[in-house]
Amino acid sequence: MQIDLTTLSISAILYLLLLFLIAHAAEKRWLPGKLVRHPAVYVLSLGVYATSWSYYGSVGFAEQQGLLFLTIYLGVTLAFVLTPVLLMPILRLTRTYQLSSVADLFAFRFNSQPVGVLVTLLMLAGVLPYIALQIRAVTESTVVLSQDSSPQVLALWFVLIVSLFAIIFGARHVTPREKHEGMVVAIAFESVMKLFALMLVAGVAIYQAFGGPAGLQQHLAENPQLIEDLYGPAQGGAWPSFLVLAFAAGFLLPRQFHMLFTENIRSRHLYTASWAFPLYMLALTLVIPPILWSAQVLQPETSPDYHVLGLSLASGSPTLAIIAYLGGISAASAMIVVSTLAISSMAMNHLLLPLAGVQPRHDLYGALRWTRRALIVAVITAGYIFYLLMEVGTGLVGWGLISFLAMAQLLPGILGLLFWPRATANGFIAGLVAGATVWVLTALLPPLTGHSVLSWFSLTSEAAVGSPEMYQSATFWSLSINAILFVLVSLLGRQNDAERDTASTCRELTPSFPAGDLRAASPAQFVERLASVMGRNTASAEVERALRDLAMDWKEDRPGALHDLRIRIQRNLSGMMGPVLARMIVDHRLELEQEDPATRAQNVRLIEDRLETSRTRLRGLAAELDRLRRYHRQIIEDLPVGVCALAHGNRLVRWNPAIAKLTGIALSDVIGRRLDELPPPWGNLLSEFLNDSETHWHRQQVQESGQTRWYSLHKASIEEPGRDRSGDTVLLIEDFTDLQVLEKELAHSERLASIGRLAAGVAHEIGNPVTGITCLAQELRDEPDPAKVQDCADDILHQAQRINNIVQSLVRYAHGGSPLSAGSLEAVNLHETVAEATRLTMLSRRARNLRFDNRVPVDLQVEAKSQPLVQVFVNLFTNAADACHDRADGRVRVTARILERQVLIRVRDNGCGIEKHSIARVLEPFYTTKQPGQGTGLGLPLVYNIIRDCGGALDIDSDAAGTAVTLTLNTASAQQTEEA
Amino acid sequence: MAQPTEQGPGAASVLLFLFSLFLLASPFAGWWMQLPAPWYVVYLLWLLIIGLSAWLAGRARRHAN
Repeated sequence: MQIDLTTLSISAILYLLLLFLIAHAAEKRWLPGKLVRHPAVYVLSLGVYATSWSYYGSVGFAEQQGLLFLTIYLGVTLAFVLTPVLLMPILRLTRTYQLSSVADLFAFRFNSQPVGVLVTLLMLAGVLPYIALQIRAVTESTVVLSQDSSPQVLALWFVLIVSLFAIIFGARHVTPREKHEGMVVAIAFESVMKLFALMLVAGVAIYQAFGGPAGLQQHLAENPQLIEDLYGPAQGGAWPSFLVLAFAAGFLLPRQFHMLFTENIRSRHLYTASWAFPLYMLALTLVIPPILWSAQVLQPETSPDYHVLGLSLASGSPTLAIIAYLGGISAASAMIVVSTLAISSMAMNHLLLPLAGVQPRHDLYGALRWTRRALIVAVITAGYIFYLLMEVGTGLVGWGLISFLAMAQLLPGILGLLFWPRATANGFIAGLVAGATVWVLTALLPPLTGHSVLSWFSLTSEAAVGSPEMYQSATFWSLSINAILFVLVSLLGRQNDAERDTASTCRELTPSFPAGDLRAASPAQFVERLASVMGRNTASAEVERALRDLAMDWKEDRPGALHDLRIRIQRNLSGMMGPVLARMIVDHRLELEQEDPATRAQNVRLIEDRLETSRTRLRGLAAELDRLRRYHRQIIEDLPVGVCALAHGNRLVRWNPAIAKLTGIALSDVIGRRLDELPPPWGNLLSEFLNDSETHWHRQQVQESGQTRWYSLHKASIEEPGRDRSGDTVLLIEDFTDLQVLEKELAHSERLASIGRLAAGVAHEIGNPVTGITCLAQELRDEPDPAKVQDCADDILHQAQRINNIVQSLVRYAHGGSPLSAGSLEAVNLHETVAEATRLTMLSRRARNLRFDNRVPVDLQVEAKSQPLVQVFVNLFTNAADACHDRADGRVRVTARILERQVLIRVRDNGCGIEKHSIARVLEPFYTTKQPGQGTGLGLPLVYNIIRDCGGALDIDSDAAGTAVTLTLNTASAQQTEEA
Repeated sequence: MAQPTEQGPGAASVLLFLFSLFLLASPFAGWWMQLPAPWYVVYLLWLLIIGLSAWLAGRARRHAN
């Protein structure tokens, strides 16, 4: 039986169009999102691993090498067993840093464009023959079914349609962030098709050859040599080597890397794939031995590589034959599409863009998209040309293994990338070049020349060309030389900073932090700087995208946030044009101030962020240290005092909740900012305090939102243990507003109490002139003599003036404003102040008998506030009056003397004195030595506060002979005296 | 990343890898290949590894959550 070429062509083209429809339906959301994003679709899409080599060639491989064919799948299973420590870390790296290919991954780790170029060239060299192999499998399968000797036209159509599919569904986006869901669903469908076709062929063949599974078992029992043929070759030395090759191919083949990492939607799907994908391969390969044994019985007229088709023809069913044929088309087309996408991405990022550079275009995205599409066509065309040049006699398996060996050259590198931070780019390049050279000489050339280079060095026998032993030797020597050179050159060379940084990143350790401050101060400036490289539209779109990713807006100007924005832009660009070029663009266009050491501010935040996200991974001493760090940080966080720490350049690195509440400025708005960037009044206030020579500012009055508040500020330099001062500063801010208000109210209460005490005296003082006025008025009524009337009127006026003086003194005292209120100090005449206080005190009944001796020099001026100073003396004199209450000869002497720029004022009475144990407490509010109801306990505390506000000091000395209060005030300056 | 980020699943996966090597790439493999066992014995061993991988994947996923 045979099927005509037209039927096969139409079937193949219709099948490929069905793939277009499936992909289109997924992209247009005609298929449910749950189905498209289901882990099973991801797992099945990994079935791209099974190419026409697996589909057709496995039977031939099994016939020649028995169970050795299974190593190609068991090796992959071993790689997937290591998912948590091997595949998951790679997935994290590719997702986080948007690395779209294996070349991107290595170029990122070693921060080297030559590394990217070398890996890309190796991939190209390994994959092009493989693509050619797929095209050959399609044409040969067509020949097998149709017996037509010129299927090149169909091959051309196949290549054209596959190219179109790759262009439409595989190159729709320029960034790996946006997945090609349509293509993934189509590839998954192809995997189902491959499995279905193989199982169908196997089932039909088993029934046809043996009458069913029982017949097969009986056949095997009768022919035990079949089992020996199956297991015998596997006991040779090639078994472990093939496992190694498949282990590497399982995740390093461009198509595998692309589907595993680049098209992965959710990382947890990889865990599902770790067992489900090997299960798929198990199902796919379980039918290979039965197909082989069936073919040995049915004897189809095909080579072992195409027994799958031969058996379908032998069944006599054209439908089965076409299904089997479409299974092969699936295997070939899936491999070509995905491999081409991966290779085109590598070629653009590591061959084309580094050579041509990024041009500032109106539509850079469009340019990149079309360049990638052109590269897809170029790669497939190159594969087609390779197919035309390929020698027909070479088996399907041979080129597959050659390709696998090429990918395996990356194995030392990937292990170094993940587990050896000391690895260098030079070491990787040396190992890769040496390994690739051995690969060319021992694996690539022998099938072309017919001679094994290994035999030149007596490493293997001449007869071993193309045999498993040849691949075994090639694997051993190429990987050994590769790994040895990789290690040696890495150990002998030195890593640069960028390499060290990315090495730490790859191991999730602590990469170095930004070396300087960003020159661009806003997202708009980012656009300005990037526009010269990539055009304004693209720059704007990239900044917009990064802002959206980070939930920021265009007004963002926090230094820490701008650093994050820079990193995000670099990662996004990395997905678009490769990590090396992205880093170069960002380093050159969004450069950092290299001279600015102010980045400690940013670094402290980054270290904290990193520790917070890594907490669960810390063990042992590191975990203990982290607990200690958190405890110390919590102390600062819980302090009821505002704390902020400043790094070099006056950048804020710490801002505890108390200061956030006190200032109303949130932590996220200040970290990384300069102190003077804080909103008023804090920017100016804290900057002035920082620049001041004083380390403490007491009760600083601040106008905040129309309200007056009082703060005390303190500062100290931060020292680094074992070093000099770091230049960093810590500021403490205490809010004294409530206390200030309370003191104000207390002072007012004390003043009212004083007035109350004076009330009786006032009544007496006013009563006398009033009585005099009354008498004079009576005299005036009957006095006819105008001269005497004039005298009476003068007397009345004099008495009225006395009353007026008393009232004015009281009014001044009562409404003199808060003794602690704002206002600058002024020159106050001390003698007059004492006299005024004396007059007021004399109004009190208790002070009537007291004799005041004002010995203060008449012209002595002190720096104080006038009215509060009167209250100081009133309070002191009142206390003296109380102390002398029992004495008839009570007296108070006030003296003053100048000592340099200060005036010592001594108020001395001869009262009963204060007991020693009370002296220490008399300045405490509400402490009184008087009888209950006679004192408020606020007099001396108020005196102390007023004197302190005037910049002075107070000292109390007391004994049985009386009490002496010594006040120290500054002398008034010449300017103050003049103004007074 | 040399330090497995999920220490439990990471260490377990390395153990399973070593066990798989023991089954498939050690003198033990040569021994079972010589046995007069059914042809699908290699698939049974493979299935055992897959089953253990599935169990491990479940653990790793729970650990990640």
